[in-house]
Amino acid sequence: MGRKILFITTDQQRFDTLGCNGGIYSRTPVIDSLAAEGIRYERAHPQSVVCMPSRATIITGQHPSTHGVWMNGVPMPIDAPSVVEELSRAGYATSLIGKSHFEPYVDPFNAFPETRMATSGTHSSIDPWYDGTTGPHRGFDYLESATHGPNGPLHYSVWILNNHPEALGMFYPVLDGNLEVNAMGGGDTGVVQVKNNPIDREIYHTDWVADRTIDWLRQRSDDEDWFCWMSFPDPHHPWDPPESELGRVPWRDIDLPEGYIEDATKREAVLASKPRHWSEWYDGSLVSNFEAPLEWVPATLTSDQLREVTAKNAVEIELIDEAIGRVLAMIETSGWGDDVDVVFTTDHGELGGDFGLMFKGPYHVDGLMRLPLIWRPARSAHVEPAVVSRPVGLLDLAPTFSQIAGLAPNEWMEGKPLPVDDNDAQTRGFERVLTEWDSELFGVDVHMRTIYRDGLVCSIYAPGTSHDGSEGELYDLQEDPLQQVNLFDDPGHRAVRDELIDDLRASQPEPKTPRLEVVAPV
Amino acid sequence: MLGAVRYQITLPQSAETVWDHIGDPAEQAKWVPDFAETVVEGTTRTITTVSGLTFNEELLVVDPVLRRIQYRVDLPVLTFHRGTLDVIALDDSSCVAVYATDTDPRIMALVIGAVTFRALVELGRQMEEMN
Repeated sequence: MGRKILFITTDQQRFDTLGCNGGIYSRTPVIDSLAAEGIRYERAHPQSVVCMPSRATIITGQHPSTHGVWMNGVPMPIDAPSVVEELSRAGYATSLIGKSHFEPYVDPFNAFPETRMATSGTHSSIDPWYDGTTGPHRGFDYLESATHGPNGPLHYSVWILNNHPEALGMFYPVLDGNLEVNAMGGGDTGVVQVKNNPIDREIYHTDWVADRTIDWLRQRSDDEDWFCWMSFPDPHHPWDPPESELGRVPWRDIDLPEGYIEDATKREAVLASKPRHWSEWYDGSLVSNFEAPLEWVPATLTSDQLREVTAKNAVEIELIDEAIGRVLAMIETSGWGDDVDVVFTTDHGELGGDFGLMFKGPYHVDGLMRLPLIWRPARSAHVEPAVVSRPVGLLDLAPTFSQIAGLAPNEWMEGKPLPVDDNDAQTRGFERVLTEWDSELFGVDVHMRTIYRDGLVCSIYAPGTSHDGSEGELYDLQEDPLQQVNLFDDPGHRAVRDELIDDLRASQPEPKTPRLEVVAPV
Repeated sequence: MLGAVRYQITLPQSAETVWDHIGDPAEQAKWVPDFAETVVEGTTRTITTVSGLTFNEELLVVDPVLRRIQYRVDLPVLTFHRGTLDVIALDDSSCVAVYATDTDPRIMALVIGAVTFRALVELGRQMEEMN
């Protein structure tokens, strides 16, 4: 018998939303205790700040340029490499419960296996694997899918429809009548993507994901190795947690987020020091991020609206923490606690009011790039608790899972098993982490590449709708943790900037050819 | 808001050969994997998808000289739609098939365009088999 793996992800969660990371809005005692007992990473970055490319990175251990899922709407190839296939081949029982998003969620033609599983009420399919063999879909014996409400062809949606049809209209409608991300206001302040949701907590997707996870785990025998990816759709917008829970974080009583610049003149000056697409989105002249509401203008966001969003986001995180607590309690009760590795992270961050912006897009700053990542190794592995400050990436997860299972990481993985402390990180060369963005849709394109190294973040742009290719961003996170001073054109930082750009260019993976097509909005 | 997507595939057959394979609008289900059945009556084509949806299209152009089929999908969600399939000769033994989708609202261009993308992939496979 080997080590079992509980892999927990949330969607679109900031680093600073956990108590163990200095968060002030949510109480997260369960995740904090995992951090205290395990390894907490202070500088974990995604390789893309949107869902589909980032989730493809998690499962392949590759940069988006390599796996080819370069923006949302590009399906991950059915025969892409997957660490879960390796675990399955090694005898692990495998499951994914919650949000997968390897394939598009707008699929009225049932073209994708995960759609077909949900619409047919099944939980597995046999598909091609990367090495020419066949096996369970992407390596998962069991898949039960959910997203941010009863939307799309997913198991949770079907479950709500069949068992609680009265709840269908309770959630915020994610898309508007034109299938764009909805800009409708709600809640107490009329803020975008917010609704006071009268749904019972017990049937909200957070508790559903935990319930379904516990159900799958109950079917495992003591001597069975397993890998379970428990994937919560929250705290991704819409922010519509059960209304019964809103009293946990009264929005009127909270302080504004540190990254929000209350003075509009100062805010706009900071935005103007960044490449042009920042201000263009803020003032509503160009939307280059298709994951944000098309009709919403960030400049209209009020302080109270941001307070309400922040509070509802915090409520969703508290519910996740409690749901994780139920699953961990079940694992302890089962007697498996010493042999289970628990890894907690998210796919990307959330702007959360920084610079007056919300949601996500081509903005490589800490709100979107600095992620919560905690690894509580199995107690039987006797790994000392630690805090790792050197940079790691989500592409390091796949080789970490291989290592936990006693497998050698595959040659197609571009990451390395996560370090257990800073000495280990230094010895094994954890010096830099890369993030990339490409989007091209309806005549608007943005292309950027980013490196984090030595406490500095440097981004360069290729020519696109708003850029001529000369633009860039450089932030010194020690001096300017809120990234309000763009040093890219500062003569005093030219040498370090050029060195980072050389490193960034030299570290780029070869892009996959031919390029995969965008075939869905999301 | 209008949106447009275009997909294309280069094929190692003459434009005539490819047009012979796909130029009959009543036979589209043979090479569009999302379609289970296509029936043409006059200028109306009725599509039944593999997923069980049924909708009508109005055939606007079926031109064997231009090697163009153009049609309009009739669905309440669409205020505008044009689907256009062109087979363009590159030389005597190769051609490019271009499938364009223009819609309002724009997001539907991606939803419907996905069908055309998968159709071109399947067309490429079928033409390779014929080679």
